[in-house]
Amino acid sequence: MALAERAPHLRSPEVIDLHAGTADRNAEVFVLSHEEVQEAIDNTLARAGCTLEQLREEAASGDWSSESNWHLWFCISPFVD
Amino acid sequence: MSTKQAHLTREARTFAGDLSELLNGTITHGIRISVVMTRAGTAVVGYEVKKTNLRSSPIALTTRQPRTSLYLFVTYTLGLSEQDGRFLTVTKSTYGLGASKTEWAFRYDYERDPSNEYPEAHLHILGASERLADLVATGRPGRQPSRLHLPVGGRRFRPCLEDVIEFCIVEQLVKPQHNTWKEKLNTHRDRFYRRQLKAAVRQCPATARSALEHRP
Repeated sequence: MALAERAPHLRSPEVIDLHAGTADRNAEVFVLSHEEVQEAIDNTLARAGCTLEQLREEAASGDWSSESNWHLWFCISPFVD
Repeated sequence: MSTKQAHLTREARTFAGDLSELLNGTITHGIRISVVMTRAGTAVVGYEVKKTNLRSSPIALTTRQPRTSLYLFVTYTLGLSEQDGRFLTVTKSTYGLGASKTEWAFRYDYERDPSNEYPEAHLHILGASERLADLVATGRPGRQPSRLHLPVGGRRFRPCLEDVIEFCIVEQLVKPQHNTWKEKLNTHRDRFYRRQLKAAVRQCPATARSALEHRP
């Protein structure tokens, strides 16, 4: 019997999450160090052929050169702000 | 890995797993949503995000008509909740549709506590629209109509991904991948509604109390 059922008063958030009822328990979660985040940003920008400065300028003006650039900034901005 | 980090990782995995389950139970097959996150709890969630790539990819859908294409764009960013910093919360989301991998027809965006004056939850109609251009011209000529932030219900009552998936099916753009799509979709959407309702009640307990007491 699960801990949450045996002792509901001991339910920690972790226990609740483990019994939330989702099917795919194997979703990949990559936890990155600060250095790895920087590498990921660099790789993502290089693949897109874009620079951080360019994205910052477009974000500041709100005038996006493409939807791809908007989406790129959407994805990386939480890691650079 | 610390206990807190392990908890955040589990939360992120559950969030991504739920998305995969929703998509694969309705309009996709074998899609796996993944997460890249920092140790501090900042995360991006999407298709094909990985250690070396923070940008999620569009998801190709099975359209009803041959030689046509349709892509679903889904990305979330997560951060620590404001209450106690122990839980992950959605800080931004975007989901939209497009007939090409690079050009969207529309998208629903949400940004928690944005630094601009636009509504947190809004819709962008992308591409050319003569009527929207006429509308924009009344105030700021030359501005792209696609930059309009059409309000869609605010933080608590914003459209969810399930609505866009349902739109794809009931408008007969795509074939559902399962006969049980509606049941699966409603299960997930009910979960979203309940989460939003709980948050609304926490935000306005007096209103919730008066509703239960049948007061106007």
